[in-house]
Amino acid sequence: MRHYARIAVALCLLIVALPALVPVQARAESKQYKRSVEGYQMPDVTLINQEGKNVRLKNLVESGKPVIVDFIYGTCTTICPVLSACYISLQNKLGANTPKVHLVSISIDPENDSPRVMRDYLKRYRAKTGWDFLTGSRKDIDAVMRGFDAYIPNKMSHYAVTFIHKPGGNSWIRINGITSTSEFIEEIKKADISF
Amino acid sequence: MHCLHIPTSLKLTGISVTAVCLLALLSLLPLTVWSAGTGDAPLPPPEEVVRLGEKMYRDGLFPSGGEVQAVIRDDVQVNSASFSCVSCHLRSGIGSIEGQILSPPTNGLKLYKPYYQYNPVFPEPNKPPPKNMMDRPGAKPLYRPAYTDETLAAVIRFGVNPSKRELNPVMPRYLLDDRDMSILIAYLKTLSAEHSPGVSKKEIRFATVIAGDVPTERRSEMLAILDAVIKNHNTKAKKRNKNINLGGNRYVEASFNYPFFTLSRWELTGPPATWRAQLDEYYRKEPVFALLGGMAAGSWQPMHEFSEQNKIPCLLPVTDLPVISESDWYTLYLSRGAWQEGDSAARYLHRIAELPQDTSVLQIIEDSATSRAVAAGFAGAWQELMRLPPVTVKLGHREQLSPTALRQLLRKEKPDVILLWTSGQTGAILSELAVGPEVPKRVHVSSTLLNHRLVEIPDRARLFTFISYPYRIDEVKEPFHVNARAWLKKNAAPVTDQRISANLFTLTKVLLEPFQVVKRDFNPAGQGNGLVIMEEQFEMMMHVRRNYYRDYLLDVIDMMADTKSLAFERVSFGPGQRYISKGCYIIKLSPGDKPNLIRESDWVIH
Repeated sequence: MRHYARIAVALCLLIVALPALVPVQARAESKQYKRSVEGYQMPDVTLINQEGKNVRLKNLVESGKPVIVDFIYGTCTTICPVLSACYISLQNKLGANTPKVHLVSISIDPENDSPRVMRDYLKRYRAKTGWDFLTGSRKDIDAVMRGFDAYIPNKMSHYAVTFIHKPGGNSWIRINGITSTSEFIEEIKKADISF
Repeated sequence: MHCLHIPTSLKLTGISVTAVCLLALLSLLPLTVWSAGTGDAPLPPPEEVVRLGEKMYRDGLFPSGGEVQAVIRDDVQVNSASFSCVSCHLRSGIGSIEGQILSPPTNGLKLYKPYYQYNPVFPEPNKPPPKNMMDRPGAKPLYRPAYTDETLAAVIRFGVNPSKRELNPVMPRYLLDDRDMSILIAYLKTLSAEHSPGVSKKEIRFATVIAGDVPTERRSEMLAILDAVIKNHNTKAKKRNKNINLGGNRYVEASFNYPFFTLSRWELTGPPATWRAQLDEYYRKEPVFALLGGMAAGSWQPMHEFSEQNKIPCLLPVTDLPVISESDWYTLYLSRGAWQEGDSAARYLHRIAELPQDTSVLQIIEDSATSRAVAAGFAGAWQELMRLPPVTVKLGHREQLSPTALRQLLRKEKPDVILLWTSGQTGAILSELAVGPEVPKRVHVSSTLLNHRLVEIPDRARLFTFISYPYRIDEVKEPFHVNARAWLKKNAAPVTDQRISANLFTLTKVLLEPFQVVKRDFNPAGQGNGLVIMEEQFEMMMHVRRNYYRDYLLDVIDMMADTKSLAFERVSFGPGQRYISKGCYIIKLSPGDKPNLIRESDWVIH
């Protein structure tokens, strides 16, 4: 049965991948991500950052700063490096304004992502101050993923999704897919975040 | 052929706007002006080319030492040191599926072949669609033609394949000059170019290592579960191969019959210093594809080094003394063993007990490798948490800590926490501590050092004794556990409190799944004759079969979903993760001869 399930997944992915086979010119103008505005209920959980410090998620979201959240893991091979490249590219673009936006990556592999693994990850990407990587108990991480309507039971089936939150209110811009840096900045500005 | 050269300065400085503009400008030029031929400087000798190419592929470093530069989605700069070819296409180059992204093969063998695909099913009017893949029409539309050096260079630079189709945007576009491109392409041609040793058309050879004086009941339990796993594969393979080769059947004989598994026993005798030479001799006589399970009277280090140096996977050796490494590749351990117990104790004291920063710790270590491993785990974490180093007392060979010596030690050190990394004398020391005059607040012990005879902890010491316990606590009646126990019973693998069968049951996942025998195949007749049809779809399902490369076996395991385990709370995989169980509870015991295990922590403590 497992084999047939894999076949089904393979075929689904092939169908999903078909747009990628469309000739370049036809796709040049189309965006490669989906955007929506959502409201989410955050669970009241305390996570652990790369320095081993406790971080209450609610305090982080309500800190008064714009917050951007994604879900990654330290040994990920495909999606997470791209998401992280977008984060660091954004930080580079923001320059002196980098501390004005809080970038948050939440681990979806909490068994392996210890503070040390997360520290090494951020160092490898040359993250600047203002980008935190959070881990926690499996139960809390699952609750956070569910809170963002981004729950996946298996980290290998994760997908690129980023959330942008401006201070105040409960509104989040949800971005499914990979943006370019200019698109990312455009979306941040749409959230009335100025820097 | 005209060649274009990117200025060397581009490689040495960080990627700049100029670089991006240059890439954009270059992308306007016809692809044919690019050449993967040599640049001005001659290529180094072949062996050096492979070494340099591997460095580009794995580490994202130019032969000159700088970081390879790349961009995603036109303006997202990629730091190749953290995101290189190996990230998605993996060590073997056979590719992966992860995060719903398919990364196709990049080894020369497959790049330089055309890819075909099945026709989509368009049912004829009034005719039901075929039920199975293999009943689809036989026509094979071209997915992409075989790459040439030129088209390969173009796809790496611009992300456009020979069919003029654009690759997924997550594929970085790499800024490589002709010479560096030639080195990378030369490396790709050597990547997974031929099957690994230990593989023939009929069989794949494995071995298990039994090193030193391993107790008979332990080795019997291990061999029983290994035999059961091997037999399980062979029974299915035999049945399937018979169907494939039946005369008159719709299948013709195919070149991809399921090879049978064989298992040899490599018994090592004498002192551990001689084990390596014995391993080399076994391997010389009988090259194997991988090592399975295994046991040693002592550290696994000699076998670990053998695997690492010969690039032979070793799956799930049963050992409390694994090599602790962040970068070694070829041995996949069940856990960090005794080391994990010390590590978890330190993190528990810091994060859960929240002891003050100036907490004093007295550590008693006996003269054994296991005791030293627990202590090393504690020391590493304690130092990382920036705590004061413990005061350490090392007992000599078979030295017993007398009550008088213990009292003197406690009077002198007045520790807030005692770490008792001892085995046989632990019960006696705890009894002595329990009678005062000052009963300690916290004593930490290791369940492995106690040889899992937790009941030896005296009742009166149980309130202050915290045990590092690296196994699941509850007996679970979930379908996974019920089915796993039924499988072991059916296959006559004994289940004992040594947890050997419980541990090695995970081989049904990490070994049998990659080589899974399936009842029906994507490939209709003729598939084994060299055409590559839908092979990507095979690879994206992460099956080893037909890709008998050791590195690919580990790649496949790395990409497996987390799973349940009879022995551990959870086991998880991930690229480069080499300890599948990462957890360890801290527990206490309730009073009595059949104590309950009282959970004091989560499974994983950061």
